[in-house]
Amino acid sequence: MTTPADATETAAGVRAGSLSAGAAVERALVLARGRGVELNCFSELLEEPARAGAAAVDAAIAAGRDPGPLAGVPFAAKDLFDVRGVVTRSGSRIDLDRPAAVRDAAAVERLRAAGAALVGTTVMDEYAYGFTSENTHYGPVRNPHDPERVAGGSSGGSAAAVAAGIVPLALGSDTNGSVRVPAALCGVLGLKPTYGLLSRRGMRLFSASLDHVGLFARSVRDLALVLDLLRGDRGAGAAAAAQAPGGEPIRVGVAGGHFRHGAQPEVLERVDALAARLGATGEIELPGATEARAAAMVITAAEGAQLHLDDLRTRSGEFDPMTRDRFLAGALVPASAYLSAQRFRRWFRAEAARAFEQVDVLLAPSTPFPAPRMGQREAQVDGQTVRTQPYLGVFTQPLSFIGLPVLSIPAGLVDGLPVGVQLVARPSAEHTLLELGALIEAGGHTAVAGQAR
Amino acid sequence: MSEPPSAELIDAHARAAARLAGLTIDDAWWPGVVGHLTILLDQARLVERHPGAGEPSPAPSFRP
Repeated sequence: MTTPADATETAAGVRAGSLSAGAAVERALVLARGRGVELNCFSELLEEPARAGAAAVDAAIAAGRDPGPLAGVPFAAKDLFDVRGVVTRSGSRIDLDRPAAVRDAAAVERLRAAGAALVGTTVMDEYAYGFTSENTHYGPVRNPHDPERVAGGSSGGSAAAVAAGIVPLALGSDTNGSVRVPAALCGVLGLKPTYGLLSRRGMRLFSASLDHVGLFARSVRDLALVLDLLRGDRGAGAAAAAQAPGGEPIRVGVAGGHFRHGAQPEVLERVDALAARLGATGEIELPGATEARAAAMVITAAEGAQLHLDDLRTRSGEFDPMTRDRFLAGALVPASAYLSAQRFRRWFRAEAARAFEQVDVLLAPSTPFPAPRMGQREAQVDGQTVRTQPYLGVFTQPLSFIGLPVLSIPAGLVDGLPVGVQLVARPSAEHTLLELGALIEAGGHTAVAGQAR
Repeated sequence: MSEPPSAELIDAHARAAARLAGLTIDDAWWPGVVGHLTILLDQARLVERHPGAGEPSPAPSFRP
């Protein structure tokens, strides 16, 4: 089976006239109606708008106009990004009662302006509160590598759609790991840029002080191109770094302490293999990482509950049982606990800054184990029983807690299933992550999982 | 929060806090809600015991 084209290759074909945008989008729609339905990737397919977007690109090319750097590239967006004319559900039943969006979210708007065609919105955990995309209202997203296993969450539909080769690009959001966890479990690339780098306009929030826009792709060059587009750089910074790796040496270390315990041994072996390949200098401690994860849990619950307080008061029975109890518990957290958690962020951020005086990039597992089975509530790790769903974020939460940029890259298979490694950099150093990611990709150490069946 | 609160204390807090917040929590959901609250309070204690939580400037700041 051939590897599906990435966005860069598709756009190049469309721009050169060897492929029509209409054909590229039609292919994605056919896959979305077939494989996408099997995997339950999509909340809503947007066939006519996608075809109209493709037709506009083909018309621009016929008229000799620039169709944009993502000409004819099909993409998907998590169902918490506003799409003009579509009701943003955020994985809920409650939000079906809200009016359709009157304007695209900033991220959707920019990708469409670059010539990309949105083929659908994707299934997620309700209000992004989860790591498995087991949505009671709309059904679970199935992992393309094993349909009896979860795709990860909360951006599971987006990750699965990219992993299955339906689209080469998808938008997600990451509050505690909701891009990096499903990227790892589905075997694709997931980028969570620095907190605040990308506009959240038109993105429904979950926990405002932690929410990030994130991206899924099958190649580093695609991530770099899209990051630049979303920032408004049009192919400047990140893409240049990804296209010309090998400049200044990048100092790499392995995140120690918290990040070396509580994972399946084979997952840590994948981190070590990559570290050896990159000549990592050794383990660098991030003191307080366990407390950082704890603080992130408290902040998430309190902010999420506050956001939905009106509905929790009047419509609690309409929430997904998978999220309802946690939102309700979040509404009962004492204010002192929330404020202590926020204060701790400042301390932990300073500790991370010290770590990045020694290295440019830290390596850490993306998840503690490969994709759990659907409905699996507990797992055994290091002789301990852990709650599967929240524990999937054990290595992602401390990093998003202080807004660091992180790239999750596929790191091979464990028990026949994909796992990922997080590349972590200091704030605003996405270019370093993408440069290193491109080097890893070029070296063939790790490969994006093929068109998983 | 130096000592772990008892299950009875958490239950009493949850009932009072829910009432003050205007939340009606179904009896069938109660064990799940209190279970999650207990986990959150455990996590909060972990953070509050760390010296880093004593930093004087709270992150949510107000600038007129």
